[in-house]
Amino acid sequence: MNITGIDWLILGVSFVFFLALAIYLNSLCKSVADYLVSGRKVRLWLGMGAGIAGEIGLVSIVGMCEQGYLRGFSFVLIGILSMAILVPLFGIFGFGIQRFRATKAMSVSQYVEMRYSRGLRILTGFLNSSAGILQMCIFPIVGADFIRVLIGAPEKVALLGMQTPVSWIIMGILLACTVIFSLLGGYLALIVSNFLHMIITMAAVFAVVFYMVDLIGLQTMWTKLEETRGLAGLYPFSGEGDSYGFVWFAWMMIMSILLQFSYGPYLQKYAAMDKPRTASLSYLIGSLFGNGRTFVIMAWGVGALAVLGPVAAAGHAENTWPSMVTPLYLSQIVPPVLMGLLLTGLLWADISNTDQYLLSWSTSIVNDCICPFLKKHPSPALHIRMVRLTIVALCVVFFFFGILYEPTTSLWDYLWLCANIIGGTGVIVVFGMYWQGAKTAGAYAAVLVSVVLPLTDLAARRIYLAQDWPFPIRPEVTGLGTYAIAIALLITISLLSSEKSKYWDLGKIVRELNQAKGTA
Amino acid sequence: MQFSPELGFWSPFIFWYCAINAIASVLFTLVVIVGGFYDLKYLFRALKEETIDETDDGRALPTSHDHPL
Repeated sequence: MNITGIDWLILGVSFVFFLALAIYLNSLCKSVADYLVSGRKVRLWLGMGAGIAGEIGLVSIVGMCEQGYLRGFSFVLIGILSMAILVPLFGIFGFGIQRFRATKAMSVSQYVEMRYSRGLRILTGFLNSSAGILQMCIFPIVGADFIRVLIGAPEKVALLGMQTPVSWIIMGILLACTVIFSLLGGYLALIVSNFLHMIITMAAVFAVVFYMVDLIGLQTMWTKLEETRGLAGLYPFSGEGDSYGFVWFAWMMIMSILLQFSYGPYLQKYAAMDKPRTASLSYLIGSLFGNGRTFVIMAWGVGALAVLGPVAAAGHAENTWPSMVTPLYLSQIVPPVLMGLLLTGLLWADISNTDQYLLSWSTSIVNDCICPFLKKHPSPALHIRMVRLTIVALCVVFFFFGILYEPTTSLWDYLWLCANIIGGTGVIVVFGMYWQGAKTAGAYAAVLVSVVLPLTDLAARRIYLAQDWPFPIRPEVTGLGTYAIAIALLITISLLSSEKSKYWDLGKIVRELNQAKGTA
Repeated sequence: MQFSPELGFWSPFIFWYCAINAIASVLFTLVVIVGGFYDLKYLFRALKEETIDETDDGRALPTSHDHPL
C-alpha cells in the first residue's frame, strides 16, 4: 500500500479531534430547530465555508476527475454560461431562495403543505426522498473504490475465511464514520465541522494540484490535453467526440434552476441562514468564486490524462477506467505526508457531503412520510430519535446497494438523471411562490408527470437495448420535455380548477425580514 | 505558454480563465476561513442566548392565511 505511518497518524489525529468536537456540539443542541437547521443562526461566511465542504463530496471529486479526464476543461464554458444566467437570478435578485427562507419552512415539502395540501406534501416528500436516496446510494461505493485505488490496496483480502473486496471494507468504514458524525449534533454539528473540514479538504485539493503541475509541467499538461482531446477538450459545443452540446446545457440550466427549489440539501442550507438576504448573498459569492475550485479538481483528471493517456491500461475495464485513472495516477506520484493530508481531506469531504445529504433526506422521510400519519405529533426528543434511526437505516441500505452496484453509465449522468425526478417539485414550488393562480390539482399533475416520463424513458431504453435497437430520444430531450409538459399541465389545470388558492405574499415578508435586526 | 493554433481562440482563453479562477479560488478560500471563524463566534454566543420554540419542528401549523408561520 502507498500509505505510511505518518499518513495514518495525520488521519487518526484529525478523526479524534473531530469526534471530540462533535460530542461538544451535541451538548449545545437543545431543540428540533437546532438539530435540523442550526437554530437558523448561520451567518454568511460560516454558511459558505460549510457549504463548500457539503458540496465537494468524495463522489463529486470522483465525478469532476472523471469529467476532467474524459472532456478536459470543456466544462469551463458551461460554468461561465451558467454563471451568467444563475448568478443574477439567484445571487442578485434572490429569485425564489429569499422567498423560501421567508416561509420559515424547514423543507420543501413543508412549504408544499402550507401552499397546496398535506396529500401533496406526502407525495413530494416520498418522491423526492426516494430519488435523493437512489442518488446517494452510489456515494459510499464510488468513494470507497477511489480510496482503494489511491492507497494501492488489493482488490480482495481474506476476511473471516472469505475473499472480501477491499472496497466493501472501506465503504463500511466510511458509512460508520458518517453514522457517528450525523448522530452527534445534527445540522448544528454539521455546519461547524463542515466549516473545519472545508479547510482540510481545500488545503489537500490545492496542495495536490500544485505538486502535480510542478511534476508534469504546465506546458506539457496543456499540450497533451490539446493533442488527446482536441477542441472537444476545451469547447463543449464542438460536436466532436463526447462533447456536451447545447441541448444538454439547456437541460442542465433548467434543472439547476428547479433544483434550487426542490433539492432537500440546498433548501436545508437556505433554511439555516439567519436572513433571506444571507441565502442569496451566499449563492452570489459562492458562485463567483466556486468555479475555480471545480477547475482545480478537474485538473487532477487532466493530469492523469496527460501522463497515463486516453486509453485504458491493460487489466482495467473500459467502463470503470475514467473514474479510476485519477486515483491510480495520484497513487503513483503523491509522497508521504501529502498522501496523509489528501486522505484526510477526502475522508472529511465524504463525511461532510454524505452527512449533509443524509440528514436532509432523513428529515424529509420523518417530517413528510412518517409524521403526517402519526395520531400525535412526536415530542422533540422522539422527533430527533426518529431522524437518527432513519439515518442508520439508510446507511444499511447504502451498504447493501454498494455491494450490488455495477456502473452502467457515467457517474455524472447517473447523478443528473436522479436529480431530474426531484426537479419536478421545483416547478410547483416556483409557481407556488410567484403565481397566485397555482392550484393543488395542477401541482399534482406537474409532479406526477415529472416522475412518470423519466421512468417511462428509462424503461423504454431497456426494452430497446434488449432488442438491440438504437433509442431515438436523448436523455436531455426527455428531461427538457418533461419540464415543459409539467409547466403546461400546472398552468392549464390550475386555470380550470375552482379551488381557492392558498397563496400569500412572500415578497412582503422578505422585505420585512431583511430589514429586521439579528436573526429573522 | 504556447497554444495549438488549430484550436484558435479557445485554448488560450480557457487556459487563462482557469488559471485566474484557480488563483481567485485560493484567495477566496482564505477570506471564507477568516470570516467563518468570526461567524462561529457569533453562532456559539447566539445558541447560548436562544429561546426554544417547541412548535418549530417542521409542522405546517394552521394560522392566518396571509402569514402561515
